[in-house]
Amino acid sequence: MRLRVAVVAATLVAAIGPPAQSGGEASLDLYVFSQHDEGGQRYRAEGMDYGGLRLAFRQDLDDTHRLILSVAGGWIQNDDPADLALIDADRATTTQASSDVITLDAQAALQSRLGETWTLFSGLFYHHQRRYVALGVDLAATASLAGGDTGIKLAYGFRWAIQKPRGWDGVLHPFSYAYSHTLSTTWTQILSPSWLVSAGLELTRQDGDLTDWYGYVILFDATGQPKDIRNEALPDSRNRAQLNLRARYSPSQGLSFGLDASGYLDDWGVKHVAVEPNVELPLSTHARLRLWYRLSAQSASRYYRRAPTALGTLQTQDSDLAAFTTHSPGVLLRLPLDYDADPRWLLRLSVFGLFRSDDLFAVGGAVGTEARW
Amino acid sequence: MIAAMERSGIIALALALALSAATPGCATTRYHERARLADPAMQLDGDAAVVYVRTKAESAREGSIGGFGHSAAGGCGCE
Repeated sequence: MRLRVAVVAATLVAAIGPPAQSGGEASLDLYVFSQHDEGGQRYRAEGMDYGGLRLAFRQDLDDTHRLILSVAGGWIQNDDPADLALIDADRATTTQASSDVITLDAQAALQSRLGETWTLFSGLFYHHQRRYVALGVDLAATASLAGGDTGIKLAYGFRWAIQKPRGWDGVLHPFSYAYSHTLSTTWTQILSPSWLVSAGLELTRQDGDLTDWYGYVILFDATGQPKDIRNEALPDSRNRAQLNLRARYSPSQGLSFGLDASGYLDDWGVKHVAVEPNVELPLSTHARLRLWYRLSAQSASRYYRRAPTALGTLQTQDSDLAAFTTHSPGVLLRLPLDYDADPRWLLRLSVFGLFRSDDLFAVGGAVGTEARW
Repeated sequence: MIAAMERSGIIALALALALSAATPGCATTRYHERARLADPAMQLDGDAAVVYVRTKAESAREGSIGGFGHSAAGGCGCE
């Protein structure tokens, strides 16, 4: 009898295989972000408040497949626009069209391990707001080589935006479309038990209606006084190439120093560089504090016109396409709530600031909890 | 200009891919030497939940791609 039970049990184990790894995690985060406008585009109110909630979930389905889901909802309250009636009384009555915006981001992905070397990632993306929907696909392949010391990643992302925008002047524009393709490759190398470096190249191509219809351009007279408002007009394609370099060093368990650097240029004439030194400190066995300071600088797009006196074919006064530098310090605290329990619970708190040389200032923060099993 | 940039970008990417594929990788650590590397403190990307909001607030808005109320595709509903 015992022998028969043992044979049946052995047959079942052989048929089912070893117990599956069924790890997973879920997290819920609340975000706030507030931007104050002391400059930027002088005749456009660029201050805003943002509140958002994001739920993320990952679950190992078996030894080789992992399901990844996330959904985020956001609410944006834009400042009332500047009083454009001084410039164009007839067309300045509807410029509060975008004072409230609700946004939704959702992603679903499947990660599959193929043997010891390859991992494949395939995902779908959805973004929604009133009069604007974007759909997307993300694909990636990662190879783990040299016993895990070398990693190579090739990724592709596609976004398709469908919009029926209302302009700054209240005019409802017909349906239009925008597309983006992003192709990237990343090489990551462990140099020693303490050093990790990474280099990546990313190409982005955008096509279609890239105009922000809520953006406008103020024309000035010879004395420097505003005299007219016209629509922003931008090319219907854009190419960007970006290089990312990263290094990380850990002298002891839980303590690490990092340096990230990136630079890009595009065919709208924007050149951009950023560096971010950061450090992560162990406060206890599992509690961590990460501090960073990001410094970035960019040149203006060739289509950016700060104070034009005549109408141009292509023109924008979008302050994000102007020249500026940004200082962005931040801090993240991760605290274990009950690390020995199953699931393990973590709490995270984060605060960061943005200080732009064109006098746009912002503070943001996040508070969230995470469970791992 | 656009065509030249596309060509040079694609050539650079192809070169990077070829170099990556041709590199067998360098084994520099043994399994038992990876305790520090496996610590969350050594993650290059940091905490994913914070990366999400920082991307919208910082890098996505520089050069005016993405950001709050936008996706990376470009354009906006503006309402």
